[in-house]
Amino acid sequence: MKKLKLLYIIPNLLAFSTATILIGYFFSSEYYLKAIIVAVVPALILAIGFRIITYRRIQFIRKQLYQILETLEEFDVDEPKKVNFEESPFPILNDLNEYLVELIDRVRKNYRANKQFTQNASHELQTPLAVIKGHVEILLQSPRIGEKEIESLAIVLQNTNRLSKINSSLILLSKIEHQRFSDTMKVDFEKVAEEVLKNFKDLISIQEIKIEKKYDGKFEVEMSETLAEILVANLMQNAIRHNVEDGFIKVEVKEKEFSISNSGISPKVPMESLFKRFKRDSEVEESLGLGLSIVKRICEQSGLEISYTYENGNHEIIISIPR
Amino acid sequence: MKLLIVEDEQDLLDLIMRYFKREGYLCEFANNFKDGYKKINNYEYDCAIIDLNLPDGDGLKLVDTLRADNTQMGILIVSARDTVDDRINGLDTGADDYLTKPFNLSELNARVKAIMRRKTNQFSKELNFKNLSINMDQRKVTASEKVLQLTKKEYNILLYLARNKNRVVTKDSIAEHLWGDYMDDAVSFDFIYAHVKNLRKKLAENGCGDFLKTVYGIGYKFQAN
Repeated sequence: MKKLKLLYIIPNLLAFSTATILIGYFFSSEYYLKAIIVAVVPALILAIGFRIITYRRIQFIRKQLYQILETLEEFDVDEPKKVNFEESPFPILNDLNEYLVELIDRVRKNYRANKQFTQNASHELQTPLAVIKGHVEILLQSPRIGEKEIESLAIVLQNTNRLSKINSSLILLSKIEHQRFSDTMKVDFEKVAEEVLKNFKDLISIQEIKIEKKYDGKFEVEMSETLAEILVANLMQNAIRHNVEDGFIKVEVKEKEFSISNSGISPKVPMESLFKRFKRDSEVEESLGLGLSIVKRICEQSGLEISYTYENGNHEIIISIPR
Repeated sequence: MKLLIVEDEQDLLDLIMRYFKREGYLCEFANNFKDGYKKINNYEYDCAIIDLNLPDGDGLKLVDTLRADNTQMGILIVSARDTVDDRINGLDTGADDYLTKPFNLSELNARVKAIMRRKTNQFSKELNFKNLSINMDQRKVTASEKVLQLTKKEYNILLYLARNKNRVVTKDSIAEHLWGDYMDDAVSFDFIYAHVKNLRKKLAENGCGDFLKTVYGIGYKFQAN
């Protein structure tokens, strides 16, 4: 800061000395002029020299700051790589570096702990849930159990099932987030869609939903095949679940675009929030509100863009490659 | 029927033991790799249920050891590892089936029975109840001497319930049995309901109307005798 202030003095100094010279020149007392030149010229040289030095220093500091910025830009919480900053002749920059290294360390530690916790929590929950479910199943077989008790057990079972569905969705989400899928290949979305439609055939026919297919081009993406299947299956499931009587589902594949649209009533929550965890259209009770956030996560992870629109009873989700 | 269960989660182990003891199996258990290894080498079992994540070793090595001995023992892997690669790996090592955790007990039971039927002849190829018989080799169902025309799903539901006869089978376990994990409850339950309705109608038309019972809010039960 001090050095910067000095820098501000320089133009003032320059202006002041020029003014003095000019005054001396016009009011020409030779002695006076000489005295002024003797006084001003060294001052001027000093000022200019000083300015050049300061300029260089600032340039240097700036370069170093950019280096720090670059390092920070490349920084990834998830990578264990150690962040290194160049040693600087300026103590203040060294302080900054030190502080940053410390901060990054702390962030990483917290992040890791957090991630570990989510993973552990979901995994640790699995066994107790399975044990509860299993014992309810055993209780149900007991001949001494009456109708009233069965009713209670049904509720226990339903809620345990719900918990365990939420749990496995969360495990899936954390798996996607931590890139645990390695079956990356060129995925043809037409094939995936056909496969998913085949799996859902029964459900589609029982709800008497009409399927329209329009394959106008190839949509191929370099991504995990498993994730692509989960992605399309999730979208299809939504399209079936939120459909109406005599409804339709339209699957469209174009160059650089894949879309699923379906008939349905208008969503009760704002469109943007649909992709958030646990946000759901309350009309459909069994929905967990995790399906679309899984979809979104997969898109983010695979470099795809997703958009959702609703218009006149027509929901449409478009997956595309960003331009 | 002698069963070995290798599982380190005590609660889960107790649960599985309890379930299969009621089924009339002789059950033995191992809590860890070392015990499992010892039991496998010293005794004969008809079927082993093996968890892969054991505190002191990989359950897959147990499977490998068993198969290296050229045993005909049925092997079912249960594991929380649920990727396709894990499954393929498990089956390649020599397991007869692979079930991911968490699972339904009725599913575990049905799978063990299926393995045993394939392995031995003491399990018949036919399930017979009064005037109803299910031939598993030909996937043929006969009611009062008449062959029923069942869809694949109807047949699968009937067989699953019959394998778990006299026990309440939950809807979600049927859903999982038919479609695996990805299916959504709301939709699939409707589907099961519709299928059981059709199935029941077909059975009733041929004098077998009493077998399928609904347990409200929970699922169904195949009532034999």
